[in-house]
Amino acid sequence: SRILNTLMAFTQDKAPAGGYPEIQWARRLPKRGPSGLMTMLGGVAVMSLGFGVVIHTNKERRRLRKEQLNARLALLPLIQAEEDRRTLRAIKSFEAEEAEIMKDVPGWKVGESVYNTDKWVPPNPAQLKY
Amino acid sequence: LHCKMAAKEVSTQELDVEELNITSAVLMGAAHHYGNHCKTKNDAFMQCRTESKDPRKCLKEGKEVTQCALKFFRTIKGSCNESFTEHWTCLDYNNQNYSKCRKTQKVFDTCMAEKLSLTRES
Repeated sequence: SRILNTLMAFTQDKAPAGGYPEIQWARRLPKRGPSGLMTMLGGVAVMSLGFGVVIHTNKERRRLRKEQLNARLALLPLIQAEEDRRTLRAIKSFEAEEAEIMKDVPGWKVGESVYNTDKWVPPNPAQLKY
Repeated sequence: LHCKMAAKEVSTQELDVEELNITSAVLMGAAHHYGNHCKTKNDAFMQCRTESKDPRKCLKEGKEVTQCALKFFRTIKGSCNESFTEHWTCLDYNNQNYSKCRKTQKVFDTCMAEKLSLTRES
């Protein structure tokens, strides 16, 4: 019968000694990271920092703009005076040309205004082909 | 185009003024000091111009404005030429951006304050 037992001893696929270990089937979500309150406070802190930077930058930009406008304001009379002289020189040369062209036309008034006023009318850019 | 203009009353002699031949960077570089220095002449011209709204009536004031500017820039050329040239060259490279040229501006300002006792507009 010992010979029979050894002849009939198969290798069986059994569980390991002591049985299988426990299977994790329930959910396990650990609590980690900052709490809700801390997250919101952190967000508020970042945003207020950002706002501070933006406000400061806007103030600085306004100061620079003011500086630039002051510079332009200071230079305005100089540029305007030069431009006035330039325009009047151009108008004079065209009036001279007009007098030359129309000298044989009777009753032609050189430089006659088309407007019924004595005020200075700024010349049309099309009239002034600098 | 039917052109009718009115500059007959203006004599060529009134328009014969020595003009200022400088570029925009130079003007912007010294603008604040210039505004402070030539304030009276500039204000007189602008007042004449806004009241009369006629360039022909303000040619005398305009000539004085240009002469004051000429005198101002010649004075700078006499005393603070190097620092001013540095400053306006910097502005020329930086699109007349004052914030990029603070270093040269500081040197120029100190030179102007010391040698010519001219300060920027307050």
